[in-house]
Amino acid sequence: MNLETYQHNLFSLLFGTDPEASVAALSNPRGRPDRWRRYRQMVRDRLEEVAENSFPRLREALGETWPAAVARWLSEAPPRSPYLRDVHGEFARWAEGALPDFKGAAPWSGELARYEWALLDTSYAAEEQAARDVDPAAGAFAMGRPAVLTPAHRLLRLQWSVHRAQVGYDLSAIVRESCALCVYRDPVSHDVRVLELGAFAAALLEGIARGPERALLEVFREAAEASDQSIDVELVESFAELVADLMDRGVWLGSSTAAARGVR
Amino acid sequence: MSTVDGVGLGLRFAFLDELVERSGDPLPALRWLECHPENYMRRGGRFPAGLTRLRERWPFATHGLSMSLGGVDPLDGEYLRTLRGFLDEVQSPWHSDHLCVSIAHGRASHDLLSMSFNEELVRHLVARIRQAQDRLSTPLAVENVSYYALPPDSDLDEGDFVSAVCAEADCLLMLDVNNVYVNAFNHGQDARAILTKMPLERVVQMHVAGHFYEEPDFILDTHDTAIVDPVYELLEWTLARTGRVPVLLERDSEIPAWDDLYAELVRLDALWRAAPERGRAPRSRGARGTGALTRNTGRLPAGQADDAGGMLRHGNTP
Repeated sequence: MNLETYQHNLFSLLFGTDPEASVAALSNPRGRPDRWRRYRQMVRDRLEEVAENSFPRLREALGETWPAAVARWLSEAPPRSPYLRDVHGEFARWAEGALPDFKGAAPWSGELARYEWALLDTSYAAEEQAARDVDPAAGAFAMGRPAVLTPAHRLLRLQWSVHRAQVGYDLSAIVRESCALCVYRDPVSHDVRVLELGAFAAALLEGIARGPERALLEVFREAAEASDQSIDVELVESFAELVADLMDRGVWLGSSTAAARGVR
Repeated sequence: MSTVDGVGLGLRFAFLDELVERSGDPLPALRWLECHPENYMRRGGRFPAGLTRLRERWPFATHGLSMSLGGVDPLDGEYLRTLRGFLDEVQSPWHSDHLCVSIAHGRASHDLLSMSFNEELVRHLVARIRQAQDRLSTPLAVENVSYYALPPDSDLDEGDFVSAVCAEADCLLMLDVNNVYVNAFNHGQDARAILTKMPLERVVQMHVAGHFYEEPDFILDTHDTAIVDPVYELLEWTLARTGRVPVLLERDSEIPAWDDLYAELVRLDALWRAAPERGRAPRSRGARGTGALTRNTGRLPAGQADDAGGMLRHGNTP
């Protein structure tokens, strides 16, 4: 058995649906077949533990169907990244697509997976580059320049209030309700926190995230239009309060050192 | 920066915060730390911040988990580029990873899977160790792994296999004494006979750990218990032959109270101090003729590092 064949058989043993065929192919007359089965169990137990520890609400929501969901994930979309923490995102992407059709899963299961992944992804995010992009001389916000947000945040649009489900709490807190969230990491404590966003705030942050080279003024106008608000003193004051609040939270870092697209 | 020498501890998230708090304590039996680069690369937040604090007190060596030196997929270029940057940042004097496959055919097991001990694998590993070494600026050490099933077509014994890989790749050896013990126990062999065939002159660092008896005749290499006396004895026997090579305690889970963990470090430190002085720096392509691995900075001069082959690493989840 050459290297290529050996590794094909080995990874079929770990992730395939017919492990006994792989055991037969791998077994050596001097070895014990049950040891190969142990490899499968070890790898799968470890990956299931990673998913279980990282998606506690989803684990609770799926209840007795959890093991079947994990088994299906491992056979349909086994991990690919060399980084163990990427397993969380790989699982979440599979879950978001597969769980809505999974027998026994609630209709919000996919969104819950996406939300729990956002909590983890935010806790991992590297932010060093963003700090270098901020021009400290430009003040909190220069309307003619792009705004810079911390990379340690994620914006979510959800159809279900999955963020109200706490681990160990009644999942009936999840109801059909459109909401926009900003998940961010506190720069001092490193704790991950969640903000519910109003229509204007959501449109503004999404606009900045969508076009990091666009002038803040352009994004501001677009957000006002998207949230059906006229640009008046009241909105400008609300905007200033929003920026101040987001700066306190470490979400809004300042204005970019780079000029906005089309601005000289 | 002080040198990686004496006894060290494998850094884990479970006690990182506590170690930061204790970084002002004397702790004479803890002289360096080892981290898994994958846990800190491409990442911000709590744990990289803790690592930065710890680097102010202790020198670091790095130990990778994901290079998959034995795998049939091409080495991951992006991973190696990121790793190189990390190794330069933490100034690791060497980087170790495993003689195993962890990723193959695009699938990642996140485990250290054993392979056949044969000439085909020796040639495969040697080529990939050289490729990896050429992409890193840090000398690479390879680690012997524990194995539970005898892969097909194995016609070399473990010591001869490891020796052939290290000699032909001209690389360093990260000797895991516990793995030798586990393999000898599980496969009815003599641990000292395995070690006698290992290239002890290439050992740059050693690992020790505890393990779990799943059955009376079967040990799992779990790193979740204290080191057992036979492993201490095997370490003492090996240190008598290698001289004072840096020794690292690995404890991955079921982490005991700090005083109990530190007591293991104290016992290891006593064994290390009782060993003879090391005669010369370990042999490798990366360290050839420099003695640089025991210099004050613990790093090779850039020119000589570039002349070396290349290598790398392994990781945890928060």
